[in-house]
Amino acid sequence: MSHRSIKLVHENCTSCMICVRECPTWCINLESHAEPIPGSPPGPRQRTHNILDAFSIDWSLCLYCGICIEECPFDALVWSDDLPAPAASATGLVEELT
Amino acid sequence: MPDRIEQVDAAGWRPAVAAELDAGAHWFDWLGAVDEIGREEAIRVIVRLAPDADAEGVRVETLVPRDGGSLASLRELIPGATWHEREVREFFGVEFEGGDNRPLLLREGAVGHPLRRDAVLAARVVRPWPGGKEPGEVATARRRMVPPGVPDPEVWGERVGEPASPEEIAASVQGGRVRRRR
Repeated sequence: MSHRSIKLVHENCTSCMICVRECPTWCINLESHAEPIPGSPPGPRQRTHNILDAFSIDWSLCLYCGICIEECPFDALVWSDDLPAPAASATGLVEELT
Repeated sequence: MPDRIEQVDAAGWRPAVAAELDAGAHWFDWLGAVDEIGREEAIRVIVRLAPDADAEGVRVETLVPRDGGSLASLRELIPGATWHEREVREFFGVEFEGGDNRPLLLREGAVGHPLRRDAVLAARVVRPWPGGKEPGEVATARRRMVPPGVPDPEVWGERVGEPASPEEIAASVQGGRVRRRR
């Protein structure tokens, strides 16, 4: 295992925002919305779960410190062997992880 | 085993370090400082010495007032300590008498001392924090959150009237939920 980039395990992510808040460089952006759990009894306080819409890491800011991986309670972030794709400018280093 | 800690007053700083050097702890590890705001109106300056790199050492500590505090330099005793003293001088605003007072890391004309607890990084206040949203929320959160290092906007930034005291700023940069307006 090498520390070349960070990979998202989409099915494990609960959009809890912990990685986004813990990141010291603020390089993670997460979009999510809440949906009612299918089959749960409807009503004013219907139970919901969060659906992950978008998850991006700005590789121009990332320190590769691994705090997000360490903090994730659901193991939804893991180290990856693949290097982030090069870009001509810093804005091009924002990668949408799927 | 943890280091032995020796607390001295500012006047006894240099003699205490000299005594430790004479007592055999002549390997200089580091010199640093901690802002004690909220507990005491002082900066704690610490030097760690040891007989050698692996041995148990001693930490000599002293408190220097936050406003205009100064301390005797260890330059004559430990030439290598001047680099650390320059760093402490820039980052915490402690003057070292008889030391090397050239700037070390900050750009020319820099204002303030960045490692004091009441120093606010304005770039962080201006930029929206990606972690401010609640899970599952699309727009801005109902509860207002601030990241660690950014003060409560009521204390710094959006405050009207008198600026907040350094204690208040230092206490509000812990991050978390912004307290409600009373």
